[in-house]
Amino acid sequence: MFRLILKRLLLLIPVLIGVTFLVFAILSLAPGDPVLVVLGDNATEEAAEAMRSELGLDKPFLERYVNYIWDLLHGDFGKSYKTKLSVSDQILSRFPNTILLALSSMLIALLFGIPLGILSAKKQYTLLDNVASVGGLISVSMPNFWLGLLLVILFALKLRWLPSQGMSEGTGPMLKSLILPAVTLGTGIMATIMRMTRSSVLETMRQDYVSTARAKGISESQVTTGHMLKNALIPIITSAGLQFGHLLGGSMLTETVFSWPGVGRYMLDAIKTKDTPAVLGSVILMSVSFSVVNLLVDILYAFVDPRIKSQYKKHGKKSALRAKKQEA
Amino acid sequence: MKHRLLALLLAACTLLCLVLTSCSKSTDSSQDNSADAAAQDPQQADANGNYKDTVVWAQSADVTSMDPHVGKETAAVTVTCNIFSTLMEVIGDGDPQPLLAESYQQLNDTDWEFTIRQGVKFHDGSDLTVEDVKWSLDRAIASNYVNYIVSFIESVEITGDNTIVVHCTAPYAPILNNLSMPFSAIVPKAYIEANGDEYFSQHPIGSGPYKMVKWNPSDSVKLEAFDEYFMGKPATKNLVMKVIPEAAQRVIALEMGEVDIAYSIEANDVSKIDANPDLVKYTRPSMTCFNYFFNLIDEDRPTYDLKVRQAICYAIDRQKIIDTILQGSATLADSMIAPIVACYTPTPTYDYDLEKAKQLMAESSYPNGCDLIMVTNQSQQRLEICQVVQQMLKELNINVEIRTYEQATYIQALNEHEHDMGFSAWITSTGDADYTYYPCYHSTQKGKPGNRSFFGNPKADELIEKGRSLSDPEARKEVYSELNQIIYENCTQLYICHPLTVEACTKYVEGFVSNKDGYNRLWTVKCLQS
Repeated sequence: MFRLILKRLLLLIPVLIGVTFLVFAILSLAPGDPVLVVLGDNATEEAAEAMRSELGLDKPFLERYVNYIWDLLHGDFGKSYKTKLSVSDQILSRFPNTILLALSSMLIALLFGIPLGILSAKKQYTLLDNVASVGGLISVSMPNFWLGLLLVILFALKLRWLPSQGMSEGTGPMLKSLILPAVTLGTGIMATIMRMTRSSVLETMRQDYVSTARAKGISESQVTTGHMLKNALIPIITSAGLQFGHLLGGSMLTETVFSWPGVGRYMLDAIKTKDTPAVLGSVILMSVSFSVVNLLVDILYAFVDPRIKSQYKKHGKKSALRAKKQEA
Repeated sequence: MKHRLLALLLAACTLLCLVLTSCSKSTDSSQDNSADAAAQDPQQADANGNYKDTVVWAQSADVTSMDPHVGKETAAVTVTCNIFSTLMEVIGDGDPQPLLAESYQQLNDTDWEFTIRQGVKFHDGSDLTVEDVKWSLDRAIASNYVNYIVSFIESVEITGDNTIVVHCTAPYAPILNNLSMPFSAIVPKAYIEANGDEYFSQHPIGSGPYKMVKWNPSDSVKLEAFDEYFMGKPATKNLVMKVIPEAAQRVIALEMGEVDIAYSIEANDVSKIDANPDLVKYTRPSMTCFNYFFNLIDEDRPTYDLKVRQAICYAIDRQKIIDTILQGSATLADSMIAPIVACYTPTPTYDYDLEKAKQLMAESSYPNGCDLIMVTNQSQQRLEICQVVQQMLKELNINVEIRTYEQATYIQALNEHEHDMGFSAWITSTGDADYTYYPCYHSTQKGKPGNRSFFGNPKADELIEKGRSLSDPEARKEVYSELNQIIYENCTQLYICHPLTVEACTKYVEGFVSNKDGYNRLWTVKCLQS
């Protein structure tokens, strides 16, 4: 298992090199001069030239890329063109807010998505199943910004139960201000998880071991949670993991609608101004988050499914044997 | 068991995250928390008992840099103008008045002497000296971000304990306007030299009415009154700037009382403000001009032909654009210079006259119509204006292709004259006409940001140079009137309108003055308990 984790972490290096190269190339090849965006309409030509030279934009593409990677290896993500502030500081100050929003949305999605999915599967073709299916479809189809505004109008403006925007200070007020963005983000994911759970549970329901469990006289709730759900979990975890990885990269629309100070808004602003170091920093964070979440999902498989765990162990032993042979 | 473990893990992660965010938000002093509490709790009042001790305003974007010689975007300056002071200052629609400068006098055509106020303190308690003033202006000149505002300065000389002389490269009449721009703010030399530029850009110290307490990136900035402010104690103890990017959300926050003042109200939200008796609207003409630069440089382009340009101008019903897309929140423009700008002079206009437009088109080199390229950025409002103009030009058998680019590509497309008509929203930031005439019409500025018509005319050059060298406003107006006639005859642009700037407050706010430059100084603002 340890070897697997190490191997996956090492694989992150080529992923990051590939991703940074692609983003760097796209930003460099795309038309438009970031200096003119940063300095604005009124900047003198001399000022623009001086800034291009200061930022190293007058150097060839490959030289700039190599310099960037070299700085990155030294833990330096560079400074934003626009603000002249350290990109890593700027991203790290916003990342906890994004994690909080992502975790809360996932919590809502899982808490409601899985039970609704199981119910839907067990009551297949009933009114409840149909309502859940149509509801799920609507939730997935609804754009986040629109749902967000509807929730704000109802719960903030009309009922005055919750704040309309921002991230309040203090744990209590912060949790209150978290509810609307988390529900907005979580609704779509909840629907996906619900549909995934439904189809997955439907598949396991027809398996022999479920009939055997029932025949043994195990209570229906134990059959559902211990036998059906447990075996149906793999696709649900995969889907939830992918969604969570996306969420950690920041949710531009939801963060904008709710004035939530996360990395999504930071990246959006950076893209608008072609602020290459800021965009690259955000993309690296996204890639690492996504890879780490996927790795965690793989590890989670081992806990859920003993067959996968034994495969990991086998794989680990084989690698150990191979290493021993090589040593000999 | 494993499920329990997983649930525990998830709960622990959420808790950890909450703690992390709480920690990152509460690293500051207790004043900070009380400021926030007061913002939400209208029961807390200042010593008078009737007024809130915290006023909250909402704006669309965060500060880019707290360094006034770097952060020049409106969103940055609306905050930093409350932290720093300048030699001169503009309040409301007025002319520049001395602020840090106690008085000033013009010594000769190019030299201006400023007497600096004594006893002014920076927020760290140190004295503001003439050394700081010279060092700050030199720093602004060296800054790539803001040097265009002070590029007229050749050198700054300290001539006494409290006097400096600004030597200009050439006679420059709008000097007082430029020195009232927050980008020419006076900063503490010793503090920056000791802590470095990057530290200063996050922990600024100025001599303005408010000192910065905390900056939560993308979220808020908290300011606290500087009781030793040389103009007197600020009216409210704390100011909080909240970033609310969505225009509709800013109005909702205002309606709910979450904020006391909201900037940049969009045209389609104005009716909501009007309908709410608890809100007060502040409307003022802006110094922005929505216009299209015609391409005058490429001979093979239709807009090279004066008659085509004039026909286009006559064919556009600008009032209809204002009434529909801008919902009345704009005034017709007769030139790039808005009427509130110093040295504005009225100019003849090409008013909507379709018959005249058709006649001019028939007389032009393109009697059967032509194809045009229109370039704009991704602003929805601009795109809608372009679409209306596109429809209106169909009457002249002109087919318009609208090319929408993100900002960087848009600027490049205009500089490389890809356009026949390039949309522009030019702002006369300093409030003086020269700020627009020189970059937009002087032949040396062809192809540079500003002169996207690639217009050049020796007589116009002469008048522009003369205009900036004269100190008598009436004489300048005469010069600019003649210049306007040349620009009108050459029909370099299609002027659409000057959009109105709309800000709104709750009815409890007192002392709010909407500044013509958009940088509202809030030290006189106070807010009654609701």
